Amino acid sequence: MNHPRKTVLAVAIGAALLSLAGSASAAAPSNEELLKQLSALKATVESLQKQVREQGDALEKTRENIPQGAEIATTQDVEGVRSQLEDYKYDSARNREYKTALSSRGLTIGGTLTGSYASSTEASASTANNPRGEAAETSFGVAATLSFAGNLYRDYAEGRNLDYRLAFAYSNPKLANNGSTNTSGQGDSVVRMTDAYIQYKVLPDTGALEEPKLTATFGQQKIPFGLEGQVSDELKPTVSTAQFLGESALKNIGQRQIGLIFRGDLWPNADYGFNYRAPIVEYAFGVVNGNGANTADDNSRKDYLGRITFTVPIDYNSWFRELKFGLSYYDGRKILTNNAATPGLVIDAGKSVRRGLDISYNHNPIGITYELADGADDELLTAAQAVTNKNTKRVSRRGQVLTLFYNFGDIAQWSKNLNRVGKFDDYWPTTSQVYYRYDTWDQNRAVSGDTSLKQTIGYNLFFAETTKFQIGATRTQYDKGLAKPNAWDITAQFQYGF
Amino acid sequence: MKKFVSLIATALIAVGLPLAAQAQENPKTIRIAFSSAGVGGKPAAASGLLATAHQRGILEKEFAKDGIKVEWTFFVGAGPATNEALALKKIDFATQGDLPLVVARANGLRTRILLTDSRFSRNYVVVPTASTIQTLEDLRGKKITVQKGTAGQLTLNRLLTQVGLKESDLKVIDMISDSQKAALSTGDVDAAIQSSTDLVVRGLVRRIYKIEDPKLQAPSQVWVAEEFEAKYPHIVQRFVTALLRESVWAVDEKNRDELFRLWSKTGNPYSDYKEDFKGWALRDRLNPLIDEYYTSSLNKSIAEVKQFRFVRRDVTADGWIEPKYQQAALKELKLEGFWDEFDADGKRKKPAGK
Repeated sequence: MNHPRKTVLAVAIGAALLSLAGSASAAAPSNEELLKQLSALKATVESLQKQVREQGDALEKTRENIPQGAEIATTQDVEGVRSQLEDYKYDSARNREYKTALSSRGLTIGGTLTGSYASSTEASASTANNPRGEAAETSFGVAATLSFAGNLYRDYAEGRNLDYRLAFAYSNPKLANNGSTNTSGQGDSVVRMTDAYIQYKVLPDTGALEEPKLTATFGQQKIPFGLEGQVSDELKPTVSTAQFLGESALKNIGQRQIGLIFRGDLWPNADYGFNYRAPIVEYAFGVVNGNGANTADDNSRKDYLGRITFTVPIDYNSWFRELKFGLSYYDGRKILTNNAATPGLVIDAGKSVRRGLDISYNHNPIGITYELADGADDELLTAAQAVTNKNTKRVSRRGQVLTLFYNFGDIAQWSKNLNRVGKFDDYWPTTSQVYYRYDTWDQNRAVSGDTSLKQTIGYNLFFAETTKFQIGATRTQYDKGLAKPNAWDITAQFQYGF
Repeated sequence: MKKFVSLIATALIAVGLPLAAQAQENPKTIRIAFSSAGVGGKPAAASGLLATAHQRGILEKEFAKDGIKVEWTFFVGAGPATNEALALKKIDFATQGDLPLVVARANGLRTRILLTDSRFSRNYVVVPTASTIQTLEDLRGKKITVQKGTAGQLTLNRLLTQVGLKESDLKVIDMISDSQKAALSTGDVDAAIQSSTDLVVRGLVRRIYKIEDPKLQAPSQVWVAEEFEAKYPHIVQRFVTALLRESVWAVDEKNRDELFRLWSKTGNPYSDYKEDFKGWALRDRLNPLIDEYYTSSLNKSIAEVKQFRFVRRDVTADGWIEPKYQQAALKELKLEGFWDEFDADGKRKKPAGK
């Protein structure tokens, strides 16, 4: 690399000498002029020597920074990389235009598919789906959900974002427990809208664990009542839902409702040593139609709801971690109709109150949940009550559910710390779970001998980020007053998300 | 008398045999965690002895002959994630920074510190290029991002104290390292503590403060879960000996280039490590000793964690450090005096015997 610079120097000196010789031939300069020219020439040579030295030093420094054994990229190499980069940019732009689903706002598409097998010794009534009414039945089933969620406005400074969610569910009516608690019992097999809401973060949300949170959600959504109707499988290991959310009078607390609901928390206990956040108080309150999903209100009175929980304020590594107590309340009105005519004649708007108490202890790998749900509903004295007779009776119902579960294996399914690990492949920690559930349902507390008890044991295997296998066996025992034989049910299902 | 001797011998055998059997009992798997992951979640770590051992498969070779599997985990959630894994008994060994280490002990998690993993690291306070921030004092009222619960947060508190500030004088936002870079690039945060050069060479950030004072940053360490140590002390010894044997290779200046190449598998450029280690002897940065510098640094961190109110409980270093494995390994490998010791100020002590 020094050679070209030496050449430049030689050429410069040569040129200077030629110039000197040229001027000598034109007219003989005086000694003084010659000395001046030589002096100028010397200065030029020294300047050039200095430049060469500096460039040589710079080159040496560059060489020092080159790792031993490293190859130096040539202009052609760089051109090659540049060419590949241009190809990549072209492919990227083309694929984005032709092969990428685009949306006008940020969008995440998700969903679940569930394939199941259910077997029951319980005699089923004759229905449109089961005209004969089998003494015992088995059935394969499928269910699916599809969701679209994203952001409508992003507040970069404080995180007061406006988000949306739209979701649909398909369920087969023969599949009793389709994983979409709030849409069951419709008796059809169509796609129905489940979630449709926008959510605004009222308080700043920058991700800091110690900040309290408050959101306002407007639209069709799950309501914050108790555990069974709203928690994820972190606290609800069973395939089936509690009896009080089934085809019973209390099912409205597990249904989606249309309205405005605020959810927030206070005094979060932040343990950064474990990236753990546990608000001491969580609260929710709101107003909804009270008539369920995908339908308008059937009366002019709105339903009001509220929930408050208290979590024991301790550090992550305490045995009391995630010990939480909750109270829920729902006050609504429902239309009482006389069955004597079709459609029924409206007699009154009866009061419909729900009260809930729940305790959860989610101390991975151990979990215990208990929930008590009370319902009190005004009902007509008889089904064909005269329109002029406004008398009603109050029917009280109660469901209680105790669930015990134990996780083993990698036990990282619900830990954002443990399942966020560096990896090259599609590794996901495997978590197994065994559980037992004791579920009683008293459909009229004033009447004895009408209680049913379901006891379930089961096993869940979470073997990919969004995929699980669940199997459970349930023994159902009915009080004599219900005049039904006891039954066994077995349900197995794969649920895979995307 | 014969009967008595025979009785004693029988008793000794009866007691000794199960103990000997227990000593030979091996775990099926050794689970090792890094409180970090590579760029974009690559399963790789750098800048320490354990990371080098991982890249070169040293521990796998050590334990393969006994059929013991070595499992490595790289927690994106850094030290706090390692703490959760320890609480759930999912890891046996780990390397960790000082803040999560002390918080874990304050919360009752039991570990034994075995050796220093790395020390004297170099970091910078960086700000977006167009920022008006010139000095640490200018950070007052600004948004700075750090991964909370990690050693970086304790370093930030030390820095702020130097200029009479505290966390509450700033808005401190919790982000993992990759997110910090994105937020700096878009100007969503005003400052961060970073060692990487990638944003600097792209002209997106400039450095306003170099953090290289040994008192501003603490060494990282390798620990073993107390339960594992109690059950498998012979495995812990082999683990430490293998690491120290490996560190002789790692600190050999002939291997500097190869070492940085291995570490660049994290996705951080080779040039980052080259710059970070410039002017340092590998032997000093990858010094595994539990020397005065380490112990005083640990005690200082314990005091600061309480002072900055990261924990409410008192923590003591008593019985926390377990030097016997290192001492035995140094003796076995004839490495006594191989590494220089440093004093509480991070200054080199005269090597023993010189």
